Amino acid sequence: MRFSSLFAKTLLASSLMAGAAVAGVATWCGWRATQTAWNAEQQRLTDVAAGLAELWRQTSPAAQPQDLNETLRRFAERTQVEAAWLDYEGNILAWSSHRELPAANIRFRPEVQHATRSAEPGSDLRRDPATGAWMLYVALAAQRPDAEPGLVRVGRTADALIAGLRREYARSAAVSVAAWLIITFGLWCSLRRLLRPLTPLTESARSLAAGQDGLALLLDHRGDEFSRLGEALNELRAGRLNRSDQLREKSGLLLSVLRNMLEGVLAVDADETVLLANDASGRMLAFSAADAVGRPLLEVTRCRPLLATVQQAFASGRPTRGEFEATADGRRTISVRAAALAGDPRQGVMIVMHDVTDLRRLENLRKEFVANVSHELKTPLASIKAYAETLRLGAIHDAEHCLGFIERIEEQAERLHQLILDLLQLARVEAGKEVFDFRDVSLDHLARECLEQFAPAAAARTTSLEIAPEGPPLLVHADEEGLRTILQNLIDNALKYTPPGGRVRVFWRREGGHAVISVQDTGIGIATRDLARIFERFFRVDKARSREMGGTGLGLSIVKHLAQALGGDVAVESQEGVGSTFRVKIPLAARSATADAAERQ
Amino acid sequence: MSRHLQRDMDRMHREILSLGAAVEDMIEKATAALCERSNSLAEEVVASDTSIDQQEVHIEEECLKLLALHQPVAVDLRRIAAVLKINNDLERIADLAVNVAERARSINGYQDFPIPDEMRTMANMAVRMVRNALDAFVHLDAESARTVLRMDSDVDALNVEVIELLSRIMQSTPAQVPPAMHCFSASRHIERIGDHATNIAEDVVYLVEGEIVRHQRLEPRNG
Repeated sequence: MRFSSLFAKTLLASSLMAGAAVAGVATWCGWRATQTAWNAEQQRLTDVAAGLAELWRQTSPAAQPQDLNETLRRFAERTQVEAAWLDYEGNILAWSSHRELPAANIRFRPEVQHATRSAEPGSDLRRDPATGAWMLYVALAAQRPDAEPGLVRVGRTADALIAGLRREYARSAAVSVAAWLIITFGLWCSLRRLLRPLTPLTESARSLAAGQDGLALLLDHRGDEFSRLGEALNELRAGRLNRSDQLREKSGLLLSVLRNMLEGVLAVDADETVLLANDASGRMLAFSAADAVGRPLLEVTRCRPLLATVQQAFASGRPTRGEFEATADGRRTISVRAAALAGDPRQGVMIVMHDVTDLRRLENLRKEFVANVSHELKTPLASIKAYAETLRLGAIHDAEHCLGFIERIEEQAERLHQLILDLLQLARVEAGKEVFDFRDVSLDHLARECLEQFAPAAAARTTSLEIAPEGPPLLVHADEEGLRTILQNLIDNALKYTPPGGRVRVFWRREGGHAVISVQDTGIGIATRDLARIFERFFRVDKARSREMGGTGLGLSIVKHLAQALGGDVAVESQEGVGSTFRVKIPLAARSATADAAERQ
Repeated sequence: MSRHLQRDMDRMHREILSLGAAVEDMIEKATAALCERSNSLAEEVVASDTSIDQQEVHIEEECLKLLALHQPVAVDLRRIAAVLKINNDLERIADLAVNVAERARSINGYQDFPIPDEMRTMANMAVRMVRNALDAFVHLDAESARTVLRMDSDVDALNVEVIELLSRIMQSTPAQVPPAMHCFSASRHIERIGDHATNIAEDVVYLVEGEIVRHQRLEPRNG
């Protein structure tokens, strides 16, 4: 809209008023001029009538009507009027014109009546019914000295006068219209100039109202109300921009804090419509946080336990805790706290969710561990108790068997002892209290020692036990005792789970800054699903078989913790029925392997 | 008048979603009970069936009340009709989940019976179908509802595979026949769950487009 309606209205009103004024003035002037012209014409005719009356007075009363007519015609030709002599009753005595008399008696004509009633001259303007021309008539009382009073009447055509007046009117109307147009154009120009700043002002105010930044107004410093309004708008805009910048900054900060929280945060209103959801909550419950706002909580999360917690918190007004399993990427345990938002009536509920899956798993592990330890300790003790009781009940006198019973007791006591030693070692290593004596250890040397130690056991099971180093001998930086325990446990395990006739190989190679020691067997192997758990304490793939072989269930756990304490790691590869390979990574000694070789020579 | 209708419709929507969430949870747990051999999960599933039944009846009553009181037309009517049918399907799915859980409990008695991997894949797929069908209902998305319809044939194919595998096991080791029979029946239940998910997806297409797509052959997706 280029021109405001204010402009149109003002222009229309003032132009109409100007038009009315111009028209009024022109009409008044025209009216005055007409009056003047008519009066002059009337005066002229009255003068002519007076002349005719004089002529009438001079005519002899005895004159014949033909003579009178002749005299009258001459007068009329001279003065260019239509003249008549009348008696006082209005009967025409003489008539100047050649044409027929309009009527014998004209006493009822307005000018005649006026003249007979008052002594004044009467006048009248009317259309002549015979010719259709406008005629101005004047009648005047006149008297011959010796005769009755009579009247003279003269008439003259007014067509020329009227045409002249019409021309005058047309001219003055044209001038008036021109004047009105000029005034209107002047008004248009000045109004436009006056109202021009209004359009940008309106646009700026509107864009501000619509929440956009709006454009700064270019102000001409005219100092009028509009420019002051413009200044005020500019100030308003600057203030608002400033405030919205601050708000944006603040909300950006809050949003990034919220977004980077590990806890899922959700807020819902009293109708359980989501008001706010951060990314973590979306990850936990598998929904898109971006389009959650404005939709019902249940529709977004599809999680009933969460809704139940929210409803409880809303109903009670107290913080409520809950826990449920979410199925987003695997089953996760989510702990949720819901608190009603302050306000009366309550505005909604704020929800904070933690992923406590790991916590719950650890708790389970601890519970399992306590149960396992108790069980492992109880089993040998139960045997010892049973054998001791058997001895007490008489077997002690049975010379043939009592020694056997006592040997069993010793065996079980030894197992108990081993278990407690293992537990203690594990506890020390785990707590980081085991004091290690780090030095350069020759792998070759250590492995051979272990091999010699296990040679009889291997021979008894007809299992071949061999060392097959790849590459030159290596020196590692480790605690000799710790490393020996690792190797012993691994070789012991390998021998236990390898059926007779199998093969156990120990070999190592260099891999970057580490030595990788492998213990490979051709044993029964480990199922894929158990691989992840075999380093757990008391985890046994086959419980019965393990105990039968005298295992404590702690060996691999000790290996793992020791390897980690020595700055290394342990890994396993296995295939059921084919065999397993345990790989221990230990940091190499600073001195190179070749130096080690030189030392040995 | 229409505000009352809107409010009641919102409540109905909320309740059917609540039922959907509960049923989703049930089949999730039932399949987990089967694949992870967990008796406790199976018990939970069996226990929650009663409340599902009550909810189903309640929602049906609500729908009928809406129809009688407000005499809705056009999209409102379609929505109520769709909810009535989805409600029914959800209840049937819940029953099937209970059946699967019961089979799982029976199979757990045979620890050495290997559950075929295809069974897991199929169970997960059926769960996903139900979830996607309900998602399509929530978002009024006919396109994703059609995707659910296409998934059904995959589940059917897997069901055939599982059944063949089980019959081979039964032929080779007669000792495994009882658990294999349980497994067989669980597989069929899961396949039925997929069918009900398809029904829900069809109802969603009807709700969105007003076209009944049941008993129509799916045109192959090309371009």
